[in-house]
Formats: sequence, structure tokens, C-alpha cells
Amino acid sequence: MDKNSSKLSYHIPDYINGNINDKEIISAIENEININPEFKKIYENFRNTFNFIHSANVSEPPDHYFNTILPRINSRIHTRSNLGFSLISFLRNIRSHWKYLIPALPVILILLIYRISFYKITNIADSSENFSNKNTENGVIMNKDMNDNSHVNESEDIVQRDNDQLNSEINTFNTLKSKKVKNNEQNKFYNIEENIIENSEETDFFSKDEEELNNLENEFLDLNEESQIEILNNLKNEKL
Amino acid sequence: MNRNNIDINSEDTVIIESFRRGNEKAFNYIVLKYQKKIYWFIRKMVIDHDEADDLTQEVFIKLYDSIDSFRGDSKFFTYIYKMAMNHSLNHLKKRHIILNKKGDFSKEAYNLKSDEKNSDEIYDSYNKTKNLEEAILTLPDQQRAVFNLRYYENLTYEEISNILNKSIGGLKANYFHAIKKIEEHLKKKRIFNE
Repeated sequence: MDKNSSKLSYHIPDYINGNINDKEIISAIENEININPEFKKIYENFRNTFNFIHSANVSEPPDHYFNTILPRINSRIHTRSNLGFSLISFLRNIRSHWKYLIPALPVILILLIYRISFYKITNIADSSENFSNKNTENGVIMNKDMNDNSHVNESEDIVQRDNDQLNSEINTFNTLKSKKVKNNEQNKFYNIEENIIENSEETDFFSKDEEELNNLENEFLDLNEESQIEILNNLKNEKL
Repeated sequence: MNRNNIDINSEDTVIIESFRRGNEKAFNYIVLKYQKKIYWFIRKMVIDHDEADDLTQEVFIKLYDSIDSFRGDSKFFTYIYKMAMNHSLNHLKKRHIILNKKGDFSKEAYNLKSDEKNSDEIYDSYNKTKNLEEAILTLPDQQRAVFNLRYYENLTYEEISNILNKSIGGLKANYFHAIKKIEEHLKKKRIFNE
């Protein structure tokens, strides 16, 4: 079969089913069927095949099947939503904004990086300025023609010094704090002592006994030696 | 495009817009309108009813999730057919459906409601359907899709071209070879002689 006949044969299925409106193609097919036995055989075989396809009933789904599709779809969507598929709806909501978000993303990143680096540079510059001011106040003459590297080094030194200063301040603070704690403890001790004194003043009972003992001691010392020995022996015997 | 197509398309556009604005009933309307077409298209692709049922539901759920991606550049039915076809083809690739494994070929599955027919007629009808479904299963995915869309869905080559992204000449060739393969299968089964 030549190329034209072969190309025309592709129209045979549509010709058999009456789906060709172009009269030229229809007449060309009919002419080819009459003059070309090979083409005619293809046509007849296709006609038999379509007759068979037409006659074969496709198995139908169960009765009322189409009444059940919608409720089951809705049920699946509902179940899925309850299971936390809100991510889908979130993505669905932002989907329309992707075309703006994606091009904007690099710009946002660049701005973010720039902002971070700018913040660092500003901090270093501020530190450098503070250091300059301090040194000027102390009478140190700064060389204004320093290059950038020296600025950076000095800034690092400043940071180091600041750190040292901060550490010393922290130490001082800790010392003061510990001193304060000690003072507090000492104060507490004094308070206790004062309380004891106050309490002792409040209790005359003990002070009176002490006076009596002193008087007795004096009387005892005024006695002669024999009388003292006698009293002591008596006390020993009485096991006082 | 005839007037009827324009009306259908504009009706679909209104329904989709309504659904996008949050009207869930609009989605129900879309399902009711297209469920038979989508079911039968998928059914002709996978042959098995249970698989077709599951895939039909999945296509509509997918549509529910991705309705915003329909921009109205093409007709809505082209869009939904494309979705159904891709879903069916993906399913077929995963499943590697085996011939004669279909439970749906049982006599009970179809045509038994025609009580007036005698048993020979039923058996004859059953055999025809079984042979045709087997023949369709022998077709490559692309040819099967073209055969179903052209023969059963009666779509024009332009519409099929929009769905499959293939040239019209290529589609005509696919259709021709699909019929040729069915014919060969029937000859092999001695349904009709050489």
C-alpha cells in the first residue's frame, strides 16, 4: 500500500462510524475501497471489528451506583479534613500568591543578609567611636589616617577591653554581693546578740542570782582560813 | 466551537467561580454533572468496576483540592478529562493489570437484570463483553486513551489533542492502530475469521 493509501487508511475508523464531514475525504476513501483490494480488506475487517464492539455490552455498575458517588466523595473529603489536612487548604490559599512569593524570596534573603551585616558593621563602628572618644578624653592622640584593617583590629581590641572591663565589673559586683551577704550574716549575728542582751535584761531573775552569789563570795573571802575550810568541808559532805 | 459548547463552558465557569468563593454546593453540582462521564472513561481505561469507582472518587477529590489551578484557558471538561486520564494512566503503571484477573468478568457482574433473555443469550453477551474488555486491556495506555475518548466519549480530535497534548495526525494513527489491535485479538480468539 502506497503512502497516500496508508495515510487515507487512518480515516477508515471515522468513515465507518460516520464521523467524517469532509466530502473529499469520503469520496477518496470510497474510491480507494473500489480500486485497492488491500485497502478494502482493511475496511472490511474494521467494519467487522466495530460491529463486534457495538454488539458487546459493557457491564453496567450496580443499580443506584451513581446515587452513591457524591455522598462517598463528600465523606472522604470530610474525613480527611478532620484528620488534619488543613495543610492542603493552607497551600491552596497561598497557591495564588506563589507567583509573588517566589520572586520576592531572593530579595528578602538579600535584604536579610544585608541587614545582619549592616548591623554588625554599625556595632563595630559604634565601638570604635566610643573607644576614640574615650582615648581623646584621656589625652591620647588618635591617628585619623588609620586604614580599615587597623580600625578592625582596634575594634577587636576594644571589644576585648570591653569584655575585660565587663568581666572586672562582674567580679566587682560578685565581690560586693558576697560582702553584702557577709554583712547580712554579721548583722544577723549582731541582732541575735542584741536580742540575747535584751532578753537577759528582761529576765531579772538571773541578774539577781548573780548579785547574791557575788555577795556570798565576798562574805566567804572575809572569813578566816579555818572558817573557810569548815564551810567547804560541810559543802563537800552535803554534796552540793 | 458551537453555541452549545459555549453555554456549557460558561456554565462551568460560573459554577467553578461559585465554588472558589466557598460555595460547597457548587462542587456537588460539578460531581453530579460529570460523575457518569468520568466513571465510564476511567472504567474503559481500567475495566474493573471497583478500581474505576475508587479512581473516580479520587479524581473528584483531586479536583476539589486543585480547583484553583483551573484558569479557564481550556474547557473545564477537557481539564477534568485530562485529570482523569492522568490518574488512570498512573494507576495502570502502578498496577500492571493482569489479564483475566478481573472479578468483574463474572456473569453476576452484568446484564443479569435482563431476565427475559435465555441463558444462551446471556452467555453470548457475557463472552462478547469479556473478549472486548480483554482486547481493550491489550492496548498500550496511549492507544487505549485515544480509543476510549474517540469511540466511547465521541470527542473530536481537537479535544483529544488538548487532553493528551498530541498532534491530530498522531491521534488518528493511534486510533487506527487501536482498532487494528482489537481486531487481531478477536481473530486470535477466533471471534471472527481472517
